This record gives sequence, C-alpha cells and structure tokens, in this order.
Amino acid sequence: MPAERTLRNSITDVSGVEVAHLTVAEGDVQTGVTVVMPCPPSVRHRKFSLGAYAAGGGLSWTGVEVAEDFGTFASPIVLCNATSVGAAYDALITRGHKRDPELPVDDGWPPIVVGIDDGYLNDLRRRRVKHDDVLAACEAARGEPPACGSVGMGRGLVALGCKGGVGDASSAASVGKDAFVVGVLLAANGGAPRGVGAARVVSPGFVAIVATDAALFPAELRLLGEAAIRGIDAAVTIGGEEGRLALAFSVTNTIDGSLTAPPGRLYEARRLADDGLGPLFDAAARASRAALGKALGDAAVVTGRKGRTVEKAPADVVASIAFTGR
Amino acid sequence: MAVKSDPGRVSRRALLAGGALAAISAGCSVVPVESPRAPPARRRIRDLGIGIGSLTPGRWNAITDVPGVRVGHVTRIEGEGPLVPGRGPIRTGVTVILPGDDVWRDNIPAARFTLNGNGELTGVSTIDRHGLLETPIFLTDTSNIGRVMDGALAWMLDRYPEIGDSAPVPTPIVGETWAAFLHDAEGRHLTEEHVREAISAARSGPVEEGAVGGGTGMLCYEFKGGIGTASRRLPAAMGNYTLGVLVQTNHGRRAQLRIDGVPVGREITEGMPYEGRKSKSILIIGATDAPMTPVQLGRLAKRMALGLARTGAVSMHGSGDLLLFFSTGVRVRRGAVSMDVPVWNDEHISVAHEAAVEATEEAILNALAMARTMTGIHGNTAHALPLDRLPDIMRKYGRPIPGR
Repeated sequence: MPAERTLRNSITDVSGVEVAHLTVAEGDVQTGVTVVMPCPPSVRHRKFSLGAYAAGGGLSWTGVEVAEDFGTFASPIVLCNATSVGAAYDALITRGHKRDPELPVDDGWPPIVVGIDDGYLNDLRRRRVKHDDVLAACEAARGEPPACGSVGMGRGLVALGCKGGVGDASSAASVGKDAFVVGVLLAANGGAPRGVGAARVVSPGFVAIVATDAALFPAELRLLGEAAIRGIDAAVTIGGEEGRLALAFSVTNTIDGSLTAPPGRLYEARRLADDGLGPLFDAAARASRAALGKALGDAAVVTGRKGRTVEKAPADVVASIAFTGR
Repeated sequence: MAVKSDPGRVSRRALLAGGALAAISAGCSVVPVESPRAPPARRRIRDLGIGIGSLTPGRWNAITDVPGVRVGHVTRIEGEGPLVPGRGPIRTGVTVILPGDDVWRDNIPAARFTLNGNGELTGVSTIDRHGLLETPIFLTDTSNIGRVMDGALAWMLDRYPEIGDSAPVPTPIVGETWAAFLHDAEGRHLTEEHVREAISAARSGPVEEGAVGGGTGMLCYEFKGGIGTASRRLPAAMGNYTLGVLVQTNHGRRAQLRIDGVPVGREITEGMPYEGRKSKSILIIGATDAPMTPVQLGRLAKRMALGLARTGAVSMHGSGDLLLFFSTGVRVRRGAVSMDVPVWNDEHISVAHEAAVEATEEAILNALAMARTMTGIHGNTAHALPLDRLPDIMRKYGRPIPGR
C-alpha cells in the first residue's frame, strides 16, 4: 500500500473497484441502475470479505445468507429500484452462468441486489428496468470515477426534501505505518436537513457501498459500514423507521481459488489490531458525508410521475453536509 | 466417459460436455422419464409402518393441517437427452405456501434461522427487522429465483394497486435449491405465468410430495427427493393447536441417511448420482396456529434443524440449509396503530420444540418415500429410495417394522 497516492475522491480509488450507471429518463419513468464491481471481470474465483450493517426500516437485499454465514461475496452489487429486483437478479444469474455454469460461491453467486424505492418520482409499477438493462450496466462498469447526482439509481431519488441521487467519495486513513483508503458510493433517498422536517418519500432508504483496501474481516467490515451510516446520521435528520444499509467489503485478504485448492492449503491473511481501526472508521464517515454532498450537489432537477418536480438542494444545505474527504 | 452405472464421480464440467451421451441419445426415439416397467408405488413413511416420534399427526399429516395454510405446485418435466442450455431437458417448478388469505394486509409473525448459509432466501429483511411475513413463500431452483421474484411481485402488483404508489414494495420470499443435476438450469424455464398458476393451484388438504413443484429436480441423501411434509397436534390442554413443516430437500450424502436411527444410507450403495462440486441444500418451512412471537418462532426454527439432524445430515459447507417459521395465530393488520396480541408462555414451549423436530424428520422422510426415480439432462438419473428394501434393513438394525 503506497504511502502517497493521488485520490480522485471516488470509490474507484479502492484498487480494482468498478462502477457503472444506467439511467432511464422517460417521462413518468425516472429511474436507473447502479453497479459496483469489487474487481474487474477478468478476475476469476475470488471471494471478498463482506460485512453488512442495517438500521431502521427494512432495506431489502439478496445474498444475505452467504454474507451472514460465510462473511463473503463474489458478485457485482446492483442497486436498482424496488420493482426491478427480480429482473436484476435474473440478469446476474445469466451473467453468472456465462462465467461458470456451476454458479460457484466464489464467482458470481449469489447475486447481490439492493432494491430502493424511488416511487416518488418514478412509476415503479411499470417495471421498466429489465434483465438486459442490468446486463448492459454490468458490462459498462469501469474503474474511472463515475458521474454523481441524478444518474443511475440516483435518477428518481429524493433526499432531504430535495433532489437526491448517488454520489461517491473517498478518504485516506493511516493505521500505524500503513496508508489505506476507504471509498463510499451512496444512494440517498429520504431524510431531512438537520432540524427541519421534510416531505417524506414512501419508503426511504440510504444505501452505502463501502470499499477499502484495509485488511479487514467481516466483523470489522460491519463496523466500517456502521461508521459510514453514522457519518450520514450526524449530518442529516433521519427518522428511526427510515432504512439505512451499508455493505462494506475489503479488496485485500481475498480468498482465491478456494473450490479447487488442495486439502490442507491455508490462506495467509493480515489482521489489524482492533484498537487501531479508529482512523478507518473516521474515514468511512468522512467519505460517506462527502458522497452525500456530491449526490446532492450534482443532482440535476428531475420531473417525474404525476408531474412532480424535485429541485436541487440549496447551496447552504449541500455545504453543511459536504466534506473535503481528507 | 461412462455415465450409466459407474459409481465414480464425474465432474459437472464433463457432464456438460456430454459428447458421448449426446451421440447415444441422438439415435433414440422418445425415452420415458421413468423406467418403462411400472414403478413400484410410493407410500408415505408412516404408511410404510415406520412411525416417527411420539406425538400425533394432524388430519393430513401436512403443513396444511395448520388452518388457513395452502400449498400449490407447478411442475415442469419436459424433454430428455443431452443438455442444450436454453432448451432443456426441463426438470423444475415452483411450490408456493400461502400462510393465509391475505398475508400482505394481515401480516403474521415469522422468524428465520440460517443453519448453513450456502443458499438464498430473498426478502428476509422484513422478517429480520420487524418479525413479520408479508408475502407468500415460494420455493424453486437456484437459477429461477429472479423469475419467481418477478412473477410473485407481478401477482402482488395486480392484487394491491397501492403497492409502488402509496405503499412500499414488498420483496417476495423466494428460496432455492440446486437442480442442475437433472435440469437445464441456465435455461431457467419458469415465467410469471407459472408463478400465477402455482398461486391459483394452492389448496388446503393433502399436499402432493416428491418430485413436484420446487422439488421436481431435487435429491435427498443422493436418492431422488423433493417436497415432503408432516404435522403434529399440540396437546389439547394447550388449546388444540397444530404445527406443520414442509421441506424442499436436496441435501446430504448417501452414507449419512438415517431412518428412525437406522443407517439405511450405508446399506444401499447402488444407484448413486453424479454431481459436480455444487453441493445441495434443504429449505425447511414451519408453521403453527399457536400464537407465537417472532423470538419464539426463531427458537422453533432452530429446532427444525434438530429434525434434519435426525435424518443424518451434518449441514455441509456447500449446503444451503435455511429455515423459516411462521405463526398464523397472530395477525398484524397493515396500518393498525396498535393491537392486543396473545403471547405463548415460554415455560410451555418445549412440546412445540418436540413437534417441530418430529415433523421435520418425518417431512424429509416423506420426500424420500414419495419421490420417484427421475432421469434428466444427459440421462442423469436420481434413483428413488427402494422402499422394498426397508423392512430387511430396519430388522437388521433391531428396529423391525411391525407386520413386515
């Protein structure tokens, strides 16, 4: 891990992570798909450690049982609207079968799909996003900083009573002599500015995908996810029933080729001392807030179903949330 | 590459290559799925004279003995011969459990337990965070999860115009086990229509078992398996409640199988299927009309795992062993601000534990006993447990079946 590194304030600053957005802006249908890949598609049979943190009302995601019992995943993470979860899952099954007909747990299975309710601006019932749309989004993933705001999953989101969206950011952290980076991609839907009530979306949900190159295990990754959520909680007002979900993963301590490894082969992993992890948790909170600031700051105004128009957040609201991320 | 009776294991990749068998099958006319000789009749384990546990079964000895619970299957068995991904052969289906007439408006308490996580059960966040079930439960094969989620959601969107408008979108509960030993998994072959059909077909009364519905392409201790069910009455003094279990088996290694403690699997070593690295799984769904809280239902979900263990399983790494338990004894009306709910006394829960263990054990044995031999892709065959061998084996181990 290089001590000095130029960060681009993006989740793609975490080595190997790729992102794509697919945006659908068609009158009453204002929605999209955002894909986060833990690694380039050329990487095969690699399991990543995953920790999940959930608070408030139910934000639904798939791949739960492998994540909670094995602490691993090996699938793209797809954020899509709440009526497209089946189509997205089916697309990841198609992709998985092409990669390996056995759908092994270290390459493509189970699919991780997070459903977000963008029904305030988006006609969810039309179910416009299909299997092929999600496949196309997976194909389009790149390791370059993605656009933010009303793109991809962010197209129809409403946050703090203003136009919400997706945003990503990164923050550096040192643990001892090692320099690490924490990147966050956030879908912001719901909440209100500090101390202010706001018109509620039906089913709010903040979803943070947290990536790091720090050598963390699932329990620690859950804490990292929790830190990212607490970072947002500190910046805005979120009702107790509003959903918050963080899926946090590490790109180190990966398990490669486990299904074909010979018996008795041990993997080598690195463990960081628990009392030294504070800087990483701080970085997660900073990156999460910065991602929220970019989501709101870049969010173009959108007019959607029932003629609803949601304006961009005022500059002072964005400023109160945004962090430099350093 | 030998396929027919070779007891060695062949990698799934070799099976998919299928070259030799394709050449053999190409010259065949239509081959029946089962042996052309009339297969021996299948009977439930209790009807074979093997009694499990000591509590009394319900009227149909099925999950449907819990009042209001209905089960429906759609089964697809089409084509034979070499695997043509996207075309077939098709050996799959979907099983739906309707816990009540309108579980979306009248949520019911539920809990889940992951015994071994190598599986998928979607939509569980509502169960985890609120202890409530708000959709029917669908069981299918691994590759069809997305299709069944979609079909289930389509049904709910039709039934409830407020979903996706003024009401949140639920995530249907869909579970899976891996069918690709017999089925063209990549082809999937289930649509929204099949899901609607299964829901329409849902009935009270006796439940069809074996190679049906989601269990069509499934195994059980390397015999043919699939859907099985059983139930137990709780003591009358406690309120005349019933507890039932439905399983979709696909788990286990042959040598592990025990029937009422007897190591039957060690005694029957022929008729072994081939398999790839993909291990297999079991889904276990429990139900009761006893009014239980989500915490208590979590305890019952864990006890069903003990029933599984009685049949010999060790819950291997590759096995997605997922358990869910619901109670119809409490209804939580959507939108109700507050309500009075009955609460079971923990000090009196042990008999429900016992019922959960017995009903699970018997449901799994019913799946085995009722499933018929099936041939699928590449002529892969899963052999039915030979029921005619049970009397001798049970007697050998000192547990003779009365009258046989």
